[in-house]
Amino acid sequence: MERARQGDEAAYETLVRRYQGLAVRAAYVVAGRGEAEDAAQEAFVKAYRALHRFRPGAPFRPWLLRIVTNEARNRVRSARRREALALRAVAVSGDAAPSPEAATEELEARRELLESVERLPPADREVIAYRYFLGLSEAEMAEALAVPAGTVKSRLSRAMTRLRTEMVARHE
Amino acid sequence: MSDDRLEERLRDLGAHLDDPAARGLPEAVRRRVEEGPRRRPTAARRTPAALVAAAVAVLIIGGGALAFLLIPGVEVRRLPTPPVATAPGDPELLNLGRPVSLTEAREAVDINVLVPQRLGRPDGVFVGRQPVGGRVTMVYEPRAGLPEDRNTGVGMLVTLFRGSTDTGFVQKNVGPETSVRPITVEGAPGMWIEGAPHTVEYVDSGGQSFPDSLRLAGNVLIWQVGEVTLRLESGLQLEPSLDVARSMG
Repeated sequence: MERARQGDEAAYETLVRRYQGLAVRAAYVVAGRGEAEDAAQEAFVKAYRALHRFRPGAPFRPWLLRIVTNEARNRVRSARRREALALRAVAVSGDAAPSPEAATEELEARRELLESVERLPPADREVIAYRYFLGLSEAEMAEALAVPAGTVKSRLSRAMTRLRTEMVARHE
Repeated sequence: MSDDRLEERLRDLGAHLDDPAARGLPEAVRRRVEEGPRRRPTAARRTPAALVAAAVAVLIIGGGALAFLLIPGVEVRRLPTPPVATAPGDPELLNLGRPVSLTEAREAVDINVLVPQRLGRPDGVFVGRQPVGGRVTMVYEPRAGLPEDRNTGVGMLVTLFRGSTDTGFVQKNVGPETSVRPITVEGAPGMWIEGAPHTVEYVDSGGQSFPDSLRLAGNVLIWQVGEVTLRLESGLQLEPSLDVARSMG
């Protein structure tokens, strides 16, 4: 980290390697598939140029994600659209594989849940995605999403309530 | 479904998302950082980059915040704790807008773009889209009598926009260490914000904030001339700021 701050591009490449999966995923949930890779790349470049403003000793991950989030949000805003998230096509195999019926049911349940998440307002979707799809802590979410630290919990709780409402609405 | 069960299902969903593969991303980033920053005109390059002092982690203010409007189009929110300024920024996240000439700025917005006679022609001019009606920002590099403001990295920012409560507004988030007091500029209502840096963001009429407009500001003088709100940001104290403001008449 310190070497990257001093302008060592190779050291920075190592950082990019370490965080690329997370960055692309964050960009994906905010901006959708079409923009995710470009947004992540742009964010890494911007982060590099802003590294001298990074506070030594501070956690890098939420700092980076804040830049990724901004970049991804800007892209959605200028594109005025966002591709929905999608499930991976899974080939189930091996001993632990459930029966075909159970696998289909699971897939259907995931699809329904994802559709409910997709129908949430962006702020709710982001807070849920950063918590459960990216596995961020509340402190990291506050920084990455630019939400006051004291309100992350209530935001998340409100988003979860809305998600439940969406899920119920689907079955009515 | 219990909370735990829903959380578990969301984590499971996350594990089954179809993420795009980031092929060649580290190499692409390295190529770009080795090329160095893109070249820009001096004022445009220097200004926003320096301004990035920090983007800010205050977006929507909780119930404890006190909001007050002294002049149309500017809302000050008093926070119980200082606005957090830990996040980084980038020239482009700052959103001063696009660099233009003074003439182009005057054509782009429906505002009488007054220039402070005391400072003369600005070193850079930018036009931004928010709030509705557009805004013009003039940048003055540090010089004798106009020190570099550590929050913005420039001498002074002069911003003009059409202030109205129904076309969105500028929101100022101030902590306990920041003082806000009403003043007048040649009889026009205004306010003076100084002390600890505060944050600035643009909020549109639907309440949507533009997070990329979030940044720290130093001492700020805001006042209203007709329908236009004028704002000076610098490291100057009130009196010299008022001198500059009066020279915009």
